[in-house]
Amino acid sequence: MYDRLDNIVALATIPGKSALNVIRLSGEKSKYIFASLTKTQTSPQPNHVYLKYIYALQEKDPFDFASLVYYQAPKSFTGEDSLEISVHGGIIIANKLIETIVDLGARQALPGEFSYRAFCNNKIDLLQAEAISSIVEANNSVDSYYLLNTIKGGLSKKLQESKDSIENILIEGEHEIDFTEEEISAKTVQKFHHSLQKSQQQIIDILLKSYTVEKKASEMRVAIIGLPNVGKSSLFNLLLGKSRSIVTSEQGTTRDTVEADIYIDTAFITLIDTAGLRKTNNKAELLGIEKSYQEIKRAHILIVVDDKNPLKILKQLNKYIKKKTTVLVLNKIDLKTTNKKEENIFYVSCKKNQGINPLLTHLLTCYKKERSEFQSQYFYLVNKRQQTLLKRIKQDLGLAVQKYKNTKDLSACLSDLYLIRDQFNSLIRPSEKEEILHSIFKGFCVGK
Amino acid sequence: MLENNKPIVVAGGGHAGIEAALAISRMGGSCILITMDKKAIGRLSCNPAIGGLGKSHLVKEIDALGGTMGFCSDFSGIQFKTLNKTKGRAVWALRAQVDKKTYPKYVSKILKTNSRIKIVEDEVVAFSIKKERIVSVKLKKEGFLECSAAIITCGTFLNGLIHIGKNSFSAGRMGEPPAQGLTECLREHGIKTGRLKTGTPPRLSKNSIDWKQTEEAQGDSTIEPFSLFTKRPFKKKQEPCYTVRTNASVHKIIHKNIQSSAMFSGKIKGVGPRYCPSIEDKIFRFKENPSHLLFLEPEWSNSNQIYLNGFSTSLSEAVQKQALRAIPGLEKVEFIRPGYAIEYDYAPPYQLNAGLMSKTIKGLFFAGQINGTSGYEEAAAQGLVSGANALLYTQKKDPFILSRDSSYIGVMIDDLITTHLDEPYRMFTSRSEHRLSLRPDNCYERLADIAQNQGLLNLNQKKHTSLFFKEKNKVLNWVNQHKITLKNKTVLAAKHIKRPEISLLSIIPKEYKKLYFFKEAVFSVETNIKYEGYIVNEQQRMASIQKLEKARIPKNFNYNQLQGLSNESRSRLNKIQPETLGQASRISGIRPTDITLIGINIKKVSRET
Repeated sequence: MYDRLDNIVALATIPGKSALNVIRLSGEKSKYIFASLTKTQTSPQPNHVYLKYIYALQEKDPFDFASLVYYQAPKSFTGEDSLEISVHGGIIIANKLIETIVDLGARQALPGEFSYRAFCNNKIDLLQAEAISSIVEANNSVDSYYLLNTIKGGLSKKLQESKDSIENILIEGEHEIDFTEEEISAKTVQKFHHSLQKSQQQIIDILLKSYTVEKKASEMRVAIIGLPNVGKSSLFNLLLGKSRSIVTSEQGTTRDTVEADIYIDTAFITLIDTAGLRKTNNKAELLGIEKSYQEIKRAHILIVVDDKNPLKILKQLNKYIKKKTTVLVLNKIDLKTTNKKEENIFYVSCKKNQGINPLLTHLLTCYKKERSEFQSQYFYLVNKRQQTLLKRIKQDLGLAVQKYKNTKDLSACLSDLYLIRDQFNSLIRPSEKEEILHSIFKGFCVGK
Repeated sequence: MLENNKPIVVAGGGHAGIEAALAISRMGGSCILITMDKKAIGRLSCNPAIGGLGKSHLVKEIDALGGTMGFCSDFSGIQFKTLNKTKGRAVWALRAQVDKKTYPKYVSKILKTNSRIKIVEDEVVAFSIKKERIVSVKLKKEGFLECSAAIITCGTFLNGLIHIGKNSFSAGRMGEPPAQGLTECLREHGIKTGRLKTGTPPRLSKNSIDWKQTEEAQGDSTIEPFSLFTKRPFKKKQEPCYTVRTNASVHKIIHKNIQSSAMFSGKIKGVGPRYCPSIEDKIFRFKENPSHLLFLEPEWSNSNQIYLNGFSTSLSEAVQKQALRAIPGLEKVEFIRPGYAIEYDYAPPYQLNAGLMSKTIKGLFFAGQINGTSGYEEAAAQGLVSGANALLYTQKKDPFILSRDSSYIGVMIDDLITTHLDEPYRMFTSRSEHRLSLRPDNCYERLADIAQNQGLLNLNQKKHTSLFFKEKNKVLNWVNQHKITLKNKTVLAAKHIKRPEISLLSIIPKEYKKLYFFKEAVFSVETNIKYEGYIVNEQQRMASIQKLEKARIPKNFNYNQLQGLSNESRSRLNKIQPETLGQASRISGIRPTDITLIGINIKKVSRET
């Protein structure tokens, strides 16, 4: 369990070589530590940036020139008095600063401890804390967009609405039971049913619009398909070369699929080179072809390459491709000249590096279109814990609705609803009692 | 029996005092009950009804513990009605309109014929203590009376001040003098006191009402008694009540004359109950409500005095009358007595332990309105618990404590001693975390063992309780052992009953109808089966908090030495001095981390000692 009353300090940036390091401090001693570090008497103004020399205890010479910001409680991330100090990069200065701050009465923070304090001081709820933890790991703009939405309270607000419907029934139901001597009116019963269904619908909506990391909003698979020897691998390598950065790339034979995670502009794409599709008896090749078909199913965007007529290939593969986004590429335009140019075919020479840029631009457009479709379908990135609880709430609400319909027992219905309200609380803001809370925060990184 | 020959003194002959004295006598002790007026014993100062929402649960539990309130209500009832029938069995609430003349007369007879209870007409004005123990009380007429324990149950009488409009005068109840002196003595001994208020509506003259314009409200056609010890079959001649409704002109008159209300003009300092609001409160707080229902209740059989339920007020008499005369049927209404508000002293009950004994003065017990509660039933329940504990204290035995998961009485006492009261405390079913387990129909199962062990049941009560259990088991055996065919399905009767639409009554063989407690047994068995899933859940939750309830915090535990406790938590814990971790956890503002911290440290303390 975290102690909540002392001062904590941690490096907020990744240890190693960098231009700057940021050290974070939270606790009552922030002002005092600011004064001691900078050897100034005046107390700092909140939210002002101070450029100051900083000194270790009992040393005459400063060990760095730093920028310091003091945040006054409760207007800080943790809700306590806090300091953020940016120093020059490298571990020497950062360590010296942390040691000095520890000497001044703080201790090294445990993983997740800043977020935990923010949670305890009601600055953020658990959904927000979890999103803060996850956003560090997000590897694409979609995930981070949705996580930011959660950090801003978007998911909490939606859940709160649904929880409010439940709480309204609880309040009105208790009023019926404890204060109203007359029997319950049909109108009131109907109102309860209506609120219950509304709350249930809200949860169903949230679930429908939620995805977990497994769903991989991050994933945008672009597969290059076609017959053997039409230049798929050449196109693959060329696109790799044009990408902003190659994240991973494994070597293999074209008898197998080869993939690479790349960024084109800000688009995070998994590019896949597949084995050429043809009839064969070679077992190894058959396996590769099988994989190509699987990839056709799995990929979001398909680049159909041919050196004669990509449209014909597309038609042949239609029953596998179905309604997926396809990009038609006619390769080897350097070998023969064609006058006739069709609008939706990209004419490319991999060998001569021709026509690649329009293809890239078009890929980006396709990516954005796919994304916007994903975004119109999903709205919340949730973790496993959140998803499990949401599903349980949905199920229990359904049961409660059904039971109340059958038994018309308001006291029993309220008992169900109290448990459901507790589940909402576990989801949004568990009491400090819940051990789960500690295990959640322990998974955070230090400095968070 | 007594350790010494000094008696236990019960100060007050209201509902708390009565149950206290009777509990002492059932357990084999004896006591002296001091009342200012023998004729006022068991008087119903306010509404002519016992039970109702939340409160009927208490009456049933008092009955299961051998108390007399339910039995006397059955005897003197003139109308019986079960409320909340459409809201679930756990919250069904029986309300009996009782004859205000018969009830006290009957209760007095029970007390007066009890050889273990001596009734003395006098008034307790002070007490003295030696070594933190009470040793005597001072009576107004007779002087000092040595005692082994004393129970203070003085209702609204302590420095009672009645307000009617701008007039105010000292009184304990209309027409009766207040009790004075005791508050000062309590304060001298370090007990904190505060001020609360409550109100009562006007009593109308029956002949001045045009009954044709009112609406009749009958009791139930088939009725059940409160008490297991009331003779079956239970039959009563019932009398109707009548209703009228307030209207816009009534509200306008009250609005215009609100300055005549003692409460609104700021004259009353005590805080009134939010849940039993005065008519001026209702009109100001529930502005959207164009009309409020009022009940015209006969105070006794063929009474000329009509209690106007729903119109509690401290407006001036003239305004009360003017407002009421705007109601059809009451155009010519005359008062026998106007409505009034009464302010009185109370001693905040966080100063008590779970046995209702003062934490600082041993042998001094408090029960009823002096603990800040409102209502006959709340008072009676505390009276019973305090009586039992006073006797146990003189016998140097462990106290009689009802837990939150055993009963509403346990919930009430725990609430009283751990929470800060800012208005009179009234029982509500929603105050319990285990509402589906604490039902009126299973109060005997819940409390019979503890009642027997403490000797709280007399012979007749024991006999009836065990007969009830025997018959209930017969019914239970039948549902668990007999398969029957319904809707082409042949399964155990118990399984059929789980379905909401199937009742046990409709399938149980006729021969069971001969059972003396047939109705009760069938109802209880059926309810247990229908609520089974919920009960299992609640029991799991109860088990999980049991640990905290059992962890006792040593007396004078030093919270100041605990590092990591916030100043706010520290001052609350120091003030309330909870007896267990469970109690500590229910003090508002105390965080779960605080409880963990205290928990670790009480373990340390117990290891060191």
